[in-house]
Order: sequence, then C-alpha cells, then structure tokens
Amino acid sequence: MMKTKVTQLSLAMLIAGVFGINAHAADNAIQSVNVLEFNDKNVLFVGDSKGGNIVAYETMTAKNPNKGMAYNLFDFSADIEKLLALKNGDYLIKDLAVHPESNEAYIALSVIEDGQYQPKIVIANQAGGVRLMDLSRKHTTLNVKHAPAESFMFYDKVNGRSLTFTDIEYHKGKLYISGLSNQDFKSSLRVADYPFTGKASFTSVEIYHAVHNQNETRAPIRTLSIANFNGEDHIIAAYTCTPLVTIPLSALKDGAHVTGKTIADLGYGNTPLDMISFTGQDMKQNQFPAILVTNKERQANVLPLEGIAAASAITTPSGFAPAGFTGYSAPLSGLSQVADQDGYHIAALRRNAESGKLELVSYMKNMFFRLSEFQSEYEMPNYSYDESQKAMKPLQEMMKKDEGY
Amino acid sequence: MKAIKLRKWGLILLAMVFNTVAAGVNPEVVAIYPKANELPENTLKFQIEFNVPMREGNFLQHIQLQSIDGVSLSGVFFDNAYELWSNDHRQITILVDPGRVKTGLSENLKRGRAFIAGREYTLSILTSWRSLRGEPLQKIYTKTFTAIPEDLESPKVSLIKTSLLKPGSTDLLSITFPEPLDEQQIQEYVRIVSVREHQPTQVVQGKFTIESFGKVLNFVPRIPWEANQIYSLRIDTRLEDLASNNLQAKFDRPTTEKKGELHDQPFYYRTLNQETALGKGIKLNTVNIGEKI
Repeated sequence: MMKTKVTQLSLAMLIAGVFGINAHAADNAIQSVNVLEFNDKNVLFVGDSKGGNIVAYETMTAKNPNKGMAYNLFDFSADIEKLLALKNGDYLIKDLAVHPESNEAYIALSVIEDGQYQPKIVIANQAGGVRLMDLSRKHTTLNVKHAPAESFMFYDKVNGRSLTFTDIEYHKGKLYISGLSNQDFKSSLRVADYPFTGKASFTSVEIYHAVHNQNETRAPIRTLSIANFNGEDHIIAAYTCTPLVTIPLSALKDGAHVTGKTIADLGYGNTPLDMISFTGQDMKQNQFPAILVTNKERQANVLPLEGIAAASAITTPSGFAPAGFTGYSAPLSGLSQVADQDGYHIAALRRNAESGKLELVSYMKNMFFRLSEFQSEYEMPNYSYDESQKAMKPLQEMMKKDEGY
Repeated sequence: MKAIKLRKWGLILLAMVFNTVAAGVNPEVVAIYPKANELPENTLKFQIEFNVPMREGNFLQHIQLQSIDGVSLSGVFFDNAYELWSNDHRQITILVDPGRVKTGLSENLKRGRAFIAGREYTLSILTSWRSLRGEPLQKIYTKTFTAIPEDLESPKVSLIKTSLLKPGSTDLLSITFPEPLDEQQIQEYVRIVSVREHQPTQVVQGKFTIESFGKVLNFVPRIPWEANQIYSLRIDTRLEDLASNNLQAKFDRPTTEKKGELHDQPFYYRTLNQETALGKGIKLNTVNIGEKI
C-alpha cells in the first residue's frame, strides 16, 4: 500500500515535470518576488509581478544580537548558494529590504527550479546567518491586475501581457505601487489601502511630467518615495529617463491625469535604482531631512527636502548636463540593490568587480563610502594626526570598527 | 494485478521519456516583432518570442544591432533593469531608448535617433542566450529591416477598412488598418462585439489571425453571422502603431498641440455592414466614434 502511494507520488511528480507544473508552487502564496517593502509595523509587502498581486506578511521579529551593526558579508553568493543548493548563476537578485525591528536583511530571489523561475526570500543577519522565509505562511493578498474586459479563449496562444512592479512605498496606511507594462509604454501609479479592503480600494493614476517640451512622455516611474514639504505630503518619483518629479498626494485621485512638477534631471544615460528618505547631517552636525537617490550609471544624489521644496519646475530642454535641483553627489556606485537599514546605515547588495561575488554590505549614512576600501595616508604606520586632522581620527576609528576592522 | 503494475510502470517510463524530451528542447527564436521589414525611424519597441522559457538578466549582452556596413551600434536599446518578460518567460520586450526616440529630449538632442530613414539594420539574437534549463540558442537569429521616415501621427480610424459580413455564414471578416499596428496589442485590444437592445455588449467568439505584419486582421466567427444582428468592431484606443502612437494620442507630442480626437474615449466602435442578397453592403445603425454601448 505504502509502495503504491510512493509510486503514485513519483508518477505525479514526473507528470508534473512534463507539464512544467512545479510541486513547490502549490505551497507558495506567490508566483514571483520583484519588490519588497516593510511598513513600520513589520509587515512585509511583496510585489508579485507574475501573479499581479501585492502580498502582505506579518513578520516576526527574530532575535538579532548584531542589530545596529553593519553588514560585512563579502561572500554572500556562497551563503545563498549553499542555503538553496544552487549552482552559480541559477538565480536572480530582485530586491533588498531590511526588517525595521530586527535589522535582518530580506533578499528577494528568482531561483531556477525545474526549468521555471521560483520565488524565494532569503533572510540574512550581520553574522552571516541565512534562512529561507516560508512564503506559504499567513498572508493577505491584493490583486492589482487590470481585470480583463472579458474572457476570450480563441487566440492561438495566451496573451503575453505582463505588469512588472517597479516600486512599492508604504505611507500612512496606503501603498503606492508603480508598475511597468511590457505592452504599453505608460506611466501608472496605483494606490491601495492597507489592510487590504478589496478591489474597490484602488486608484489608478496616469502621471506625466512637464519637461523637455514634452508634457506627456508616458515614461514609467522607476522608483518613488514620499516626503512632507511645503506643509503637504508629496510623492517624489524618479522616472526611467531620470527626471525627478514631485506630485502632491492630494492630487492622486482615481483615474486622474496628473502632471507632476519636474524639479531635476539627474542626467542622460542613467537609470535610478532606489530612493530612500533619511536624516542627513552636514560637517557642522546640522541635521536635515533628505532623499538619497542611487543610480545605476551615475553617482548617488543627496537631495535635502528644503531644496526640493524650494526648487523651480524645469519646463524647457535641459541640454545634456544634469539640471534643476540635483542636491549634492555621494560616492555610491556599482550597487545592484539598496535599502534603508537603520538610523546609521544603508544596506546594499553589490558584485565584486574582480571576483563577481555577491556582497551584502552597509554604508554609513552621510559618509556613503567604506573606509576600509581605500588606501590612505592615515593608514601608514608613521602617520600622526596633526591638529587639523584630529577630528578625523574618532570618525575613522568608528568606521573601521563598523566595517569589521 | 500484474497488468495494472505494468501499466503504471509504462506510464512512469513514458513520463520519464517526456521529461527528458522536454528538458532537451533546444531554445529557438519563434518570431521577432515588429515583423514588418520597413520600420519607422522612431520605432519604440521590439519583441522577441522564444519556444521555451528563457533566462532573465543582462539581455543587452545577447543582442546586437548592426548597420548595413557591419558597424555595431551601441546605446540604442534602453538598459532597463526591469526586463520586460511575459509571465511564461518566452517573450521579452526591448525598448529603444525613449530618450532618443522622442524629439527634444537630451539624448535625442545629443545623439539623434537610433535609426536613420533609408538605412538598413540587422538585429541579431546571439547564441549566448540560454533557456531556463541552461540550453543556449543553437544559431544566431536575425531580423533585417530598413528604416523609413518617422511616424508622428496616430493611426487614422477613418481609414480602417472592413469587409462585409455574410449573414448565415461563418465567412471571414477582414479588417485592414491604414498601417501595421502592434501585433501583441491587436490580440488584446481588438474585438468583434454584437449589440442587442437592452443587453450588454457581447464579445463574438471566434478566431483571429494577423497578416501583413499587423496591417490586416482576419476574424472567423464560431457561429454564423446573424442577419438581424448589429455587429461592431471594437478597438481599445490604447492600440499603438509601430512608433507607439495610439488612437488617443501621438507618442511624440509638444505640449502646445491639442489632444487627439479619441483622447478621452476608452474604445473606438465601428458598425460592421452586412452583405445583402444583391451583394451590396447595407449600412446598419451606425454607432458614433467612441460611444459606449
């Protein structure tokens, strides 16, 4: 009897293999993981582009003795590959988020299994501990697909339309979801209540930006953040062709066509990666609210909110150079994913240029570089700090300790 | 008992063979869209369709664009970190850098359009592209096309031609667009609907085929056309031509220009005329452009 069951199971598994059905998929609440976002109550929102869903998990806060410390994991690919029994290259990194309470890093992956991409979320801590998140655990789901007008099954093949979530931002009980379609080049922003209340809770907004003599570029939003300035909450959105646009939240009404105010062009030949709100600090210890925009091809931009609030709109072609209010640049580059880690750090995933290994590291906010990666005269055995450099010493000691030296 | 066991093992063996065959399918490029050989110099997107799910990541490494003199062109396609795959990972959409396609944007001002009218180009899909099962393409697939002058106009709905319906038959309805349109979107955005009094619009079931690189759409209904029935062609106004001008608006439009005539209309409707016994078309109650039925 037992043998028969085993045989039947094997048969089912083999047939499943033939038809491309994955046994793991049935257990999972999600079909893909593209975007991760935490809210302040430890709820993890997962953008599942393939399923057209936003899935919300209430996460538990794991004990993390290294909370507050930097990530210095230089062979993170080996940790992932060992955990998932993978060969090199059989997975894609989709996003990074940091648990607001435990400071553990959540990494979204697409892993090749049985000829299909399967979603995984790996949780890592600063000590190098890694484990898999159970995606079948209790969750709530919001479907954000455009409901098809009607079923129509007489085409030769299934329509290939897909929607890729590009960013999710949680703000005061609402989710702001930007997406990109593979069929229409258009900008869309969806707004949904959380806890999810059902389909009626969406608003879908078309956003244009006034720049370069083109009012309606239909360019999709790449990454977004929400900040309060001029007495009002605003979306700050970075578009694929790097204009930076602000839109008051009050303008986002269902079905509305909204024109955003373009305050900057971060420069051609570049795509923004991510945007983080943080508290900036200058050399005189003055603190100020700011936005950090990390870019794929250019250095990162730090934009104090005060400057964003005061910026004039760009309405004429900006030529080739960055234009408008671009803040100041920070030496962050070569990163594939970034996330706000804690009050002092941002966490980042990057590839080592020489070994190709995936690294999970932290950068100190307001420094935006890792001291241990530079050779300087400070490190020479005979170097002595003169009066003008004395202030640097405690800072460098702090950075070295943070970076594990 | 023995027979049952044998059948089970036979099935398992069969499944194993299928599994092996499925695993061993060589990836191929099934089609490269747009299929037309002449593409406007402001063409925005290409789509590559494969026979099996393919690997995501670094798509720019697996394609090459060359001009007729063999010079490789770089900086043409948009380096999009979010690769635009269909859910089954058998089709990828590749955008020409919109900053070069649209006039007045900094990339366009600096480098101009990627394609120049009158010149010939070859898009190659390289053998480095692997399927999810790890198999590489067995050969290089190419699409050669000639750039033609820019298309800055929305497709004109008044120029869409439709053949007459023959009541009582399942004869083919042919729809001819004024220019080739996006084949992927045609599949989703065009429908034949029947209009009945006091009843919501019904989608007529049947089979579409696309011909002439997206310029002609043929439809064969599953059940015969009815004589006393009004049928309409319904097009979602988001339907685009090859330069991403849709029925609502142009893709490349200065702010000063007025919006297109279908700007606020979700659908365009055209009543389809029926053939009479004398073979002439009879015009039925016409539905106005964009009117919701």
